[in-house]
Amino acid sequence: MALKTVLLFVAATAASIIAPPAGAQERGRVFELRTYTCYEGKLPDLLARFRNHTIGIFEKHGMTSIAYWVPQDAPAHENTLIYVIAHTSREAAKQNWKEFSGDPEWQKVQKDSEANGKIVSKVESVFMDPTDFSPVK
Amino acid sequence: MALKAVLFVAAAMAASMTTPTARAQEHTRVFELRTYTCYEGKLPVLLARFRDHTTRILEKHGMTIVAYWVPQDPPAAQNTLIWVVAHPSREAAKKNWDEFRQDPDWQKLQKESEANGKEVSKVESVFLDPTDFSPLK
Repeated sequence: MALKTVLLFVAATAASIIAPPAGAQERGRVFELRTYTCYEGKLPDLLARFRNHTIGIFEKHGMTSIAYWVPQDAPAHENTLIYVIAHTSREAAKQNWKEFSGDPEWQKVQKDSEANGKIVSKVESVFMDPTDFSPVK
Repeated sequence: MALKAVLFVAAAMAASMTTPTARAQEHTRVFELRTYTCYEGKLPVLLARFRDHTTRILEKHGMTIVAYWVPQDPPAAQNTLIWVVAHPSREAAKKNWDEFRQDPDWQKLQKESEANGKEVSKVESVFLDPTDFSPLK
């Protein structure tokens, strides 16, 4: 690699680490905390579906995945997925979910993954605003 | 800076971004999702306390704040704070909270705020592991 290229890479890398995120853009985001309870033994199927399909289809419809977690303690540890996604607004969230539900790719994934029975028994959703002092906005 | 030094920094930066060790370290973080329900009218007081004091004391004791949110819809919009904090491990979480409670700064703050009536009526805590596909780990 030529020296110039190396130096350019160093500068670009440093900038990407040090530069503050686009704060103003992010501030208007709406977050959605979703808690899925699974039928017995189905959590691994749900995790595989998110890993291999759902996240990609979310992104296609304007939903940004922030975090996916599984509780450490029983009984939730065996059957619960908790996750947070961001939408550009509450109105956009409604539109995003509508488009997601109507997406043929999702419909096929859902049908195929539930050939042996439904996966999710309960969905809870809470829409949230970040506080002014929240690190994630 | 001498060229050697620049190249060394470049190599170190690249290594810190891509090595499995660095990623493995991140995987071991434990997240805690906390939901606080307030007595009537006390949410603004609680938010001010987190903004001005509590966050700083939490961070002093090894806790990394990820996000603070308030639900958008009633009744939770009037009385609920949802927040996520990261600890290096579950054991560290216990130690962090013990130290936090013993901190004279916190004890003073709590005593002062309780003089005007307690703010929080209910605390829920769920310890969480990030999934392998979670953006936040």
